[in-house]
Amino acid sequence: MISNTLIFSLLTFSYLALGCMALAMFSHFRDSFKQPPTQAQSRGLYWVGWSILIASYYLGISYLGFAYGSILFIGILSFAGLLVILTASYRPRHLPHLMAGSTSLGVSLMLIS
Amino acid sequence: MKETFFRTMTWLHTWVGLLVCWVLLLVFFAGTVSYYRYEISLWTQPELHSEVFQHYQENHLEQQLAQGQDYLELHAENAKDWRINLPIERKPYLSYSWQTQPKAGQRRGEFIEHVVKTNDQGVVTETRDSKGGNFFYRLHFDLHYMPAKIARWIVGFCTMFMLLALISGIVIHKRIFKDFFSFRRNKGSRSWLDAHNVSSVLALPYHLMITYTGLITLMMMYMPWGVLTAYDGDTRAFRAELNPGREQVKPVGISADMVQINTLLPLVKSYWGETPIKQVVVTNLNDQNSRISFYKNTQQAVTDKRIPLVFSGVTGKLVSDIPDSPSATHATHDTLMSLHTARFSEPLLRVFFFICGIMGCAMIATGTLLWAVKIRQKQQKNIKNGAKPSLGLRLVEGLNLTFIAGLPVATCSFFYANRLLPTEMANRAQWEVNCFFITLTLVAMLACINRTQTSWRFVLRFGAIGLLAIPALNALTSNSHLINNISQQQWALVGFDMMCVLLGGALWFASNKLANKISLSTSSSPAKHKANITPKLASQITSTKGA
Repeated sequence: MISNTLIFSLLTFSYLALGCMALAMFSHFRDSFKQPPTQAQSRGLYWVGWSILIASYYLGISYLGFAYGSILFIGILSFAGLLVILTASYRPRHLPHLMAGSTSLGVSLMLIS
Repeated sequence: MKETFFRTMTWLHTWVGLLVCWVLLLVFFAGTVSYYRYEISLWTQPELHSEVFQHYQENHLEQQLAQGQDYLELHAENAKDWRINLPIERKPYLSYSWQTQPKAGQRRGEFIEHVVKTNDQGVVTETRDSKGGNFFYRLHFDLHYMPAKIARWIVGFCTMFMLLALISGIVIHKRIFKDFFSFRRNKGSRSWLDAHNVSSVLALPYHLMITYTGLITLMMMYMPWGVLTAYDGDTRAFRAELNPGREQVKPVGISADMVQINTLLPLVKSYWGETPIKQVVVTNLNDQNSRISFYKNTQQAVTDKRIPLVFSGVTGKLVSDIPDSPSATHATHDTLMSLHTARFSEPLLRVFFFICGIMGCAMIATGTLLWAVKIRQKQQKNIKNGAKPSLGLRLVEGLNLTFIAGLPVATCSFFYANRLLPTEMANRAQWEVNCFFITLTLVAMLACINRTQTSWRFVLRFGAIGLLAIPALNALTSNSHLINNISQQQWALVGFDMMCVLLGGALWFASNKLANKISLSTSSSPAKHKANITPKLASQITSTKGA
């Protein structure tokens, strides 16, 4: 049986991960924080993004199996990416807040399930 | 060398994309919609909206099969085959169906399905004649009003072009990672390019997968020679090996009594354990050679194989082989097929597939819109001086209006026809389909006369209002409405209504955006508004034009 709460948490984690990757870019960081990122910040965000992405993929396939988990994860990534792009273009200032919000939502979903 | 290569690729991307994009849009749209094929079919048969919903119940199986067999013996004695369809997640009802003996000269008989009401209240025998979700499913590869074989060749040709467009698109998109999260809004053709890039890149794995596997689904038809050589022209033998247990046996003509289907259940369980059964099919009724096949519900397994357990209908002995684990080629083919049809996906994954499908439609639509916007910019000077836009531009703009804005309206009209056409009408199912194409033709006629933003806004608004009113239509023309569907947890019906409202809302939003734009462009010069592009893009456009 596939758990819907798990899928929602994976979606929130992917949003966080892709959000980090977006913020690792000069222009998106500047739009969100009104100041340019330092190189360390940029690099940090980039690798944090990748680590969260890999960790959530691992979480997905360990619960849902390699085949189903992989297919689902690609679907989740496409949708999470779309959400990040919409936030970054229409509400760049809120991107960090929404990332924090989505993380806490994801963690609490994991805890209750 | 490098410059010429990129120019060639850009040329290739533009022209293979543009040439087939409207057929592709139709195919992509119909394919995306058919992710909800069963849900749509259920919605289009309001006779089934109450008193029939039930879950699969292991402990009622024996009784359901016995009742099914009795019912079919009584009502379908001379049928070609019988099917007992047990409730599954996406078709949550029990039904008995059969195929009548085909008339002379026809391959198949008529399919009749009776749905069992819960609580022993009898059966629903009369449902309206409608193709439902199957219309979109067939439209996806058989198109309509033409022989299926020709249509499949056309679709295959377009799919091949799409694959070329995708690959050349990846090659020419130099800033895939740099522009990964970039969408610059209100920037004229720059925004269209960004939207095209975003919808392509985000769902790129999906686009590549669906296009490639789309070709795979019909590969035996496009390239039959491998099979013909390996099996010495005997495609039947090939199919028997591909789908074990599916080969048809001929009746011998000696009548014999059949076993009770439910007595086979313990044997089925010994092979499959607690795996739910989806369907039981009986062929060659009351014949020495009769067969009873059990199909299981493959649930979330990534497979498209329907491998049945086949029993002799007379002796009750298992006659099919239990297949060994498939060869690597076989397994690869199966995985690719199942990825395309996505039959394994539970509701949330299905939503993601649907979203990716919509992004595919957006990719095609933004691509062709981008072309039209750029060419109009190029001809702006001449048009201003009183010259007519070129035939190519008028054609592309007209087809864009017809297919991009017209498809949602046509789909909407299909659903209205389903509910409003009289149920006893002759050829009813075909008339629903005709309504779809008549609407599309009407939009095309409008596009011949006027392709301005006013027409776009009109068609989009029309579609938006139609879709937003779908829940009201459902409430007025069926015996259940959104609120009591929610309270009775009929999520397929609730989902249908909500999806229509959501898409209607999106169309309304788009038409409002256009309204703002029209009022803006009447206050300032339209040329100025459209030429709002960065110098960098201008250079990019020139390089594209040069190609």
